[in-house]
Amino acid sequence: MTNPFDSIPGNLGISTSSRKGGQNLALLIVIVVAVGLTVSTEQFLSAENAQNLIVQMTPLLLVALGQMIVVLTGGLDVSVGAMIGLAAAIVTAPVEPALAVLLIMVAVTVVGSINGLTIALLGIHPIITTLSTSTVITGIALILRPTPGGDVPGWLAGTAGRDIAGIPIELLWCILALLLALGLLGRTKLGLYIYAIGGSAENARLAGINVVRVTVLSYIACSAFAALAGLFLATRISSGDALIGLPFTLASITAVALGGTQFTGGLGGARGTLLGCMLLAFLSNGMNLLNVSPFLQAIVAGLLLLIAVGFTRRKTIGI
Amino acid sequence: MIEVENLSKSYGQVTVLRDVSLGCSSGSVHALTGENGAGKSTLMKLIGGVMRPNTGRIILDGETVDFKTPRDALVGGISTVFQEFSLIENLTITESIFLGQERSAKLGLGLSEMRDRTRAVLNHVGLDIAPDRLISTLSVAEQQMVEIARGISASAKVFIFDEPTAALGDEDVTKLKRLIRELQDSGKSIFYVSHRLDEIFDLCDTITVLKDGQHVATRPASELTVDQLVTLMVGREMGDWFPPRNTATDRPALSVEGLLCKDQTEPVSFTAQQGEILGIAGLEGQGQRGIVRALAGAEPALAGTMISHHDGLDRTHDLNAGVGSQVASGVAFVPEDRKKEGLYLSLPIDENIAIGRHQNRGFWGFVENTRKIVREMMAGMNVSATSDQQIVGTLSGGNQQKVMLGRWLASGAHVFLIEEPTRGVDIGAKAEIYALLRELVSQGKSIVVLSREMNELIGLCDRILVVRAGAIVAEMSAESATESSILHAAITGETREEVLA
Amino acid sequence: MANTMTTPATAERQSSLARLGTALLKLPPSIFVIVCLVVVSLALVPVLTKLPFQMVILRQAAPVGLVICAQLLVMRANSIDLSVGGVFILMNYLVTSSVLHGLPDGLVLVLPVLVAMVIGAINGFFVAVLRSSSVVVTLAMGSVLMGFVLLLSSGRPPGSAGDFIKWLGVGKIGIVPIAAIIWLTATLALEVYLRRSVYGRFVRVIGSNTNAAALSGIPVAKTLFTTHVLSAGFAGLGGVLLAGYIGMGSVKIGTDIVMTSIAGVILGGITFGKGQKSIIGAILAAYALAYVFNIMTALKFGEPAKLIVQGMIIFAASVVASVSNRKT
Repeated sequence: MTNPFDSIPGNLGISTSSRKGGQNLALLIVIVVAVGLTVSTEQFLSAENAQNLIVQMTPLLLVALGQMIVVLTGGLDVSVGAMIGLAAAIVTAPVEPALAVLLIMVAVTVVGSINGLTIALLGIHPIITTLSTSTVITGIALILRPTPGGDVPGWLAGTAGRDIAGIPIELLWCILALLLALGLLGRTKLGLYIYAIGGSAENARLAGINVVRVTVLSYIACSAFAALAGLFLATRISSGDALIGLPFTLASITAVALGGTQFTGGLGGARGTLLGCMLLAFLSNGMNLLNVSPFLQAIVAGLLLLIAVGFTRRKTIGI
Repeated sequence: MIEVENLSKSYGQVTVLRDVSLGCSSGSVHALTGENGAGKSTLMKLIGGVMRPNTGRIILDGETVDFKTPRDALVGGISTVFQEFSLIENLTITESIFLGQERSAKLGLGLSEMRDRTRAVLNHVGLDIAPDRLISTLSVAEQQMVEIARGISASAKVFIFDEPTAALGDEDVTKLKRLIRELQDSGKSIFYVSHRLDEIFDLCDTITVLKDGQHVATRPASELTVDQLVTLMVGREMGDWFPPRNTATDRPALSVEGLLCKDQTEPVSFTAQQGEILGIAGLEGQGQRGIVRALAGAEPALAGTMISHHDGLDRTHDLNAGVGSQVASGVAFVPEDRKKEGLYLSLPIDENIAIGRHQNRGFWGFVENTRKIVREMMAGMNVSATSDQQIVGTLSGGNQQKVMLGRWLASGAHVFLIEEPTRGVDIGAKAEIYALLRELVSQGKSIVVLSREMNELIGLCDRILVVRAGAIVAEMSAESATESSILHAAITGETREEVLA
Repeated sequence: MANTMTTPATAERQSSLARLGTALLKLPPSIFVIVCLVVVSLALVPVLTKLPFQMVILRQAAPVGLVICAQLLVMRANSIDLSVGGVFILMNYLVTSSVLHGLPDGLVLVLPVLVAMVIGAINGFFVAVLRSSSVVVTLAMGSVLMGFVLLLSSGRPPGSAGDFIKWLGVGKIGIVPIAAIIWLTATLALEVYLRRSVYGRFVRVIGSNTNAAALSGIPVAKTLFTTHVLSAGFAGLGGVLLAGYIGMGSVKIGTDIVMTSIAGVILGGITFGKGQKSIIGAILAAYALAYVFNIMTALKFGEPAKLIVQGMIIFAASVVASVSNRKT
């Protein structure tokens, strides 16, 4: 069925000149979809639709950037959707804004640490750890906010749904998040160590890198991006919903995969993830414009993920 | 100035380095040589911070040091260019050189400063490539230069080169030699681990010989000749626990014709006779492993045929149909790394052995009752275990090796391709394994053995093929072969009629 | 030597204590959970320990038990199936919508299971042949299936299950629920087959050391593919039983079934290939999980508390499993 020699373990097998991952395909599809939609619909290029697009894409981009950081270390975080819900639940809870912010920061740190520590220290597979934390987080979020509702504090209310000098404020969120991720990965030691661990955790350890600490920090960063997405979503719909984030788990993984980041770690980057998010947003926006059922959109997104991972070769087989 | 005192290292029962002391002053190039498995690489890994010694100490410039990682050692002044590279493929040259001790700027990493320093140091080692290139895009020689540049950048005082020329072409070797001389001139202490005697005499001023993990001699290079050095390297007493060679016939058991695999330039052909154990010798990484793995179906063969003759049947084996097909036609492959590539450590002995029989049945079929076979196999091979239900991971190395052989005995294989039949196995079990292999060939099975230990090949085999650069350069009868004649052929590629001592 | 002072008697006691400790570590964690549950329910809700209630728990455990068995099978081979939730929803749709109306009873049971196996084959193709990560592939597959069902049913629950399927889900023979009989028969039959068959041995060795299996000629891809197909069949059967138990269409079921299946496998003492425990551990795990939910319902725990407990169970069990696997 397969080439019998594939099972021989080997190195990463990078042949590109950059470790940012294969974004060309994503870029091509984004352009094709954009051109297709421009031709087939009248509204696609309208200012109103552009604003829609950005608003739709912002939370996805935030989560996906966090997910990408973890994936670059060779991990995976399926608790991001739950974390979005928890952040939305906390920020709409009837507590002092300062306390709410503090609570969210504590939650991010605790969840990220538990995820990172069990994965790096105990060697438990990320899917098991993050699935269990995801369930617990959703439970806690539901206790805080059993049904959608609540109010978004004033200081947050102005951060979505309006524009500054004609630029939708969501665009600023996106740019800020992108700069944050680009800076972290490209300009800090932590970013470099994340790539190093994804390349070879053992060699990184030999080079004196504290693999456990870097892994924990990357999971915390991932949770933090998810919490930001939660704040944004709560602000946009002006209320809290403990379950609002759940679809974003799969969407974030899809965006990361479409953006050319490899799930074995060490290859990929923020530009690719941006393209992946744009692709998903364009597709969903386009299907809305073409009056395609939202359920079909879920199918298309799943199929895209299958295609994206189905055609990247791995040396290992199984999980 | 670096000294090591009484360094020892052992893994469980097996001691790989015993009580070794030596020193290297600045401006000296100190060769470390000895046979495969003499403990050279282990000694260098202890000095380079990859492993820590069980006893003994390392003294750098008068102070005792204790490194936990290679990065510790590098910061402390010891740079190692390993045989297996420790570079990370998806990092750039700059990042690799500064990994673990990055420079900072006002905002984040001081990339431009690091890049400039990298450019300078690359220039120093004579490497004209962009500092932003990824390691994965570099050639082996270039990667090696990057490792050296890393040491220079960290202003190391001691440089360790572990078989640095194994994968280099002539031009790169010349470049490397020039670089080593420059390091020497600037007052560094250099350890040079190598088998290649010409390089040793060309570069080094002092030569230390190790054997079986023990220090044999340290002499100035000017006081030694090549032949004296070879004599120092060989000559270990093995005792007479090798079974007598009295089973060889002149009927062929296994014929390999025109086998060409990935890294070879020239096809190899050989025949193993019935009742004969055929040994393959060679220095590390000369392609002998690829030959055996290609025959096992574990690596692709570009060309070649393999025919086995057993029980009056001539079978032509399809080399590119994978391991499964080879197993089905009676070929057993016993890999060197039994923990990672051979055994199912979390499963009991009986399953590890019986799987060899089950493999021969249909995928959907039921297993046969192998209890009796497994027990007989364990008794016949003298596997010491509490029962056939003992988990294989808890067995000693020798017993694990027997279980691995037992799997293929039980499966009824008639061609055995064995890498390192006694790696990490104690002496008693070694003798038992040798006797077992001899008994197998006497039953008409054919065995090809790959071993780093030349005296093992000499004692165990009937005939030895010496491989150098992927080609068979010598064939000798084990009875008349000596370690120095094998070593000579393996190093120079030429057969020597007599040994000068 | 510190222990030269200990008398032989204390030394012996220590070692027998240590031996007891190791023996306990070898048991599947689900046994301890059940012991705790019995104690808790005796103290707080004693009625749950009565036989009729135990039968109710057994019936509820059946679909869960089948999907745990499915997950166990793939995880033994170092893979995972996160699409079981999607499979459950699809099964529910198939048996409650009009798609299979009018077909003989047997086909109404068999056809959905076959559909599930086709889904398993697609998963298997990606995982075994294309070597994609099973986590990502089956996650995507789950989402595709969910979207597919929602698309077909336009977001509304379809009709209700036929009498035969309902009978399978809630019927009894004597006091024993039919669903439980199906569950136990199917899982025990699978276990016997796995133990006695060449395929079962292949699954074990691949789980133990995939690399060694490939180098010693085990058909790794074929085994993994087969495992995904078989596993999906079991998940499908579980989905049909659950649909029969609920009796009508729902597009909400299945979201937590992925979680429950993994919880069950870990409680049963298995993580990705490692672990020597038999299917009994997984059967007990299904029972334990159904038991936990009944106790929590009896104690009027809300949905959030149930989620928290479930997550904690997986977390604790995976930590225990990781530590005990390290020790052995």
